Amino acid sequence: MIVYAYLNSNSTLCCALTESAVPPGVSYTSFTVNSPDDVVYVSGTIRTKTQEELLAEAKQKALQQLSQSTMYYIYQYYPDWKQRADMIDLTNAEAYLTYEGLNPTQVKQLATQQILSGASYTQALSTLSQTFNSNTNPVIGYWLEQLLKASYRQNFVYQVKEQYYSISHQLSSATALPLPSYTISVPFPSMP
Amino acid sequence: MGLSYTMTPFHPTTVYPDQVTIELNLANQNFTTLANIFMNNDPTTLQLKPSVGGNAYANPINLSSQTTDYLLEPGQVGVVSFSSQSLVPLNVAVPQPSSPLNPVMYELEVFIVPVSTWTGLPFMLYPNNTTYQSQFQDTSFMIGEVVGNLGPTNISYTTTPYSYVNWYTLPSGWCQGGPVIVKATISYAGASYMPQITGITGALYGVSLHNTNWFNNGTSWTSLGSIGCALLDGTLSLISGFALVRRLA
Repeated sequence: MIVYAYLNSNSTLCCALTESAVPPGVSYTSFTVNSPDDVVYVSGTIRTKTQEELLAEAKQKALQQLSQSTMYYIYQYYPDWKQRADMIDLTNAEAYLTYEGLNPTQVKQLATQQILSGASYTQALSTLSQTFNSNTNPVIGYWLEQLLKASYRQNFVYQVKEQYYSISHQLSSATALPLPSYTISVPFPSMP
Repeated sequence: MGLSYTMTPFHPTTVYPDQVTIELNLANQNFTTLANIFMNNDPTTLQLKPSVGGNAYANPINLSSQTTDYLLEPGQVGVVSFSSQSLVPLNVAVPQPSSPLNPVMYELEVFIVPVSTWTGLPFMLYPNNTTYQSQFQDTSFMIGEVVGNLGPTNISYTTTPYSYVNWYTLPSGWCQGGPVIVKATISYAGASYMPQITGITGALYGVSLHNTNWFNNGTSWTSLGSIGCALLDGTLSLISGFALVRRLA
């Protein structure tokens, strides 16, 4: 599109979208641009943005959008109230397991090892139960379940954040437009 | 429109070349214009065309082919239809208010369909068919259904002013394929007062409320301006649809 750029009496940069929209008697400069936003007034000169400026602006927008999208992606599967409930469950689980003479650090260590090895939730729970609840105490079983579920969900957040940092790096290091497209694709763990 | 009317076409006390031909032609044009306000362009029907009075939404005044801005009277409705256009002039003149307590007000309703699939959709209004750097402050509240990576809700307050009225429809200004409806109330109390544009936009999966203040710094609003929609990179999209403008006061 062609815009007709000028400074008004308040030294505000204006871009008329048609030649007839320029106030009478005002001198202007015409530019062919994608958007009127691509015209700037810098150091006393009206000019179009350079490729570097356009790239920097696009990066800033894309990074803001990525940050927002990442937050929404996490909340979509793991809402705020559930995150708070998990923190309470973890505290209670640790207290009860300690009361029963178990070492919560060892439980969390084995849970993390199972998650990082790619075990499914069902497999991991079975391993945890065999190791720490061979007598199938139902209350211990319950808290092991809660602890494991919270760990899987927290690992989901960790994986999304990892993907966020990876995409963020790709966007930040882009050297030309258009910026690479992206999709956040971490699956939410399947749990009963 | 395409019609003209000349007040007092005859100047009997002034003599100039081809006076008779010129003035009779003007008079003939006046007769044609006046006849056109009647049904079938025939005064003997004794029935006025409904659109002559700008009979509100039932018979809006067609401003699509206006080449200059049209001055709507209070209560009148103008309509602009557009097809595959990136920038749509509303062709509506904005008069200067007689006092700040008698502002000029308009209701703008826009129906937009995309010409091709969009990836972004801010709705834009360019008063005076011009952008004014950093003079438009938008406050918005947006709600959108979860779509892909977009969130369920977003509340935003724009701290960086825009250079025109810039209304995002969803948290990321994202829309695909569906129609968009914009409804805005515009008030202008004079060049010394800040114009205000308040309204709502609805699109596929989302709705948003906006209020934009134009820190006009003494600039008069003389033409309602143009509308458009942009992709996320700022490029104007091709759009089709129509805009209804009703002057409220």
